[in-house]
Amino acid sequence: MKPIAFLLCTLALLGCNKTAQDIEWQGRCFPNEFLSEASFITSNNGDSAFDSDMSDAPILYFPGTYVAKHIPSFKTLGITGNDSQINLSLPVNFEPKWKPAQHFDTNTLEKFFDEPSLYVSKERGPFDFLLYTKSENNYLYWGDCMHSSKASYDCFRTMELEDMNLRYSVHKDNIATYKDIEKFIFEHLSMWECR
Amino acid sequence: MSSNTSLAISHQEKTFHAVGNLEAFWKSRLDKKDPVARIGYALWVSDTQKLKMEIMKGDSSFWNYQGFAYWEFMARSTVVNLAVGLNKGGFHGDVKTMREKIKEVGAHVAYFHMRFVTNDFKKKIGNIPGKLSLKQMADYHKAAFKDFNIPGHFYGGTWLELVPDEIEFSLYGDLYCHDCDTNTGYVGSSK
Repeated sequence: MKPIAFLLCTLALLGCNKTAQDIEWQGRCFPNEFLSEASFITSNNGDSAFDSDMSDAPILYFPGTYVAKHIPSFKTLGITGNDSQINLSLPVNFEPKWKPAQHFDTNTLEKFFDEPSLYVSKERGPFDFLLYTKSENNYLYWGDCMHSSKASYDCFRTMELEDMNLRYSVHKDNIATYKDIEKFIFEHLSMWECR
Repeated sequence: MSSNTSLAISHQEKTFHAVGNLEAFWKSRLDKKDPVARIGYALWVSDTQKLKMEIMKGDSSFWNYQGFAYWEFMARSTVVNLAVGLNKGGFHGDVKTMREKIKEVGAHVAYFHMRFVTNDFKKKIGNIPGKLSLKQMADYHKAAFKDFNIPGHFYGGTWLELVPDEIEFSLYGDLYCHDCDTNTGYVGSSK
């Protein structure tokens, strides 16, 4: 009995307190309730048409209602291309480190209408655009956005996290809350560090 | 198609999507050997003979050594799953509104595909920029489905883990119909 008790104590102190369906990855213990079901796919099932290089990183999915409990201004319903209502959520992915080119020609940028702390190119195409943030002497890449209709769009915001990148998706109606969203994500990642 | 064709989403593909031409969108992706286009094209092709021809003339390894009957069944199963999933998520309607809603979901999935492929291409993720893994495909399908209240498990991680049962096929099978717009054979949940 003593060895078993010792083993349990050791696991409790050193290991993750995780259930069978949680995922431990890169020093974090991700609870199952915030994992996309796609996190558990580990192969292409022999289908060689797909890209054979598959990330083992978990895929996070925060339901909009959960995010809204932490960020009251987060909107849980949005409009899609056909003017129909869709649920808004917060999907988060880990990606390999990627350094975007920085934008140096500041004369071509203007404040972004939906979020004045972001900047967008004055000349842009009908389908997609890039957003930048302003640092002391420079404009830094913030993310890529694509229109789902003339009136709406979604963005992939890319951030650095340790030796990898973190990417989340944000709808037009929630872009003004992006700073709160990032605080929310980092708080959860900190909370999930394995103890 | 040459083997070095870029898998990036073209301006023309974005235009096809913007005008709601999902058949042309997926045909263009199919020509680039985008693996997701196999089911995308099978779903939205206006005449199944075109799908048959593409499979017959195509590279059998790209089609995963499966013939027309397999891909046509996968497309039919997908439509039935979407209809059942929409019902589970609280959407009810007659055949016309269900078809329209399924097309909305299809357009939303294609939009997610464009975003994921663009991101993958730009950041050179994986072995081939712009080509997704099955995990990436499942990732955005599940997210897109949840936007419409369709439970995530209605999209299978393999091609389709969740094959509809006979009752579901009899209820919704006729929704997979190319160039048809009648209610014949459809017994919607509202009836």
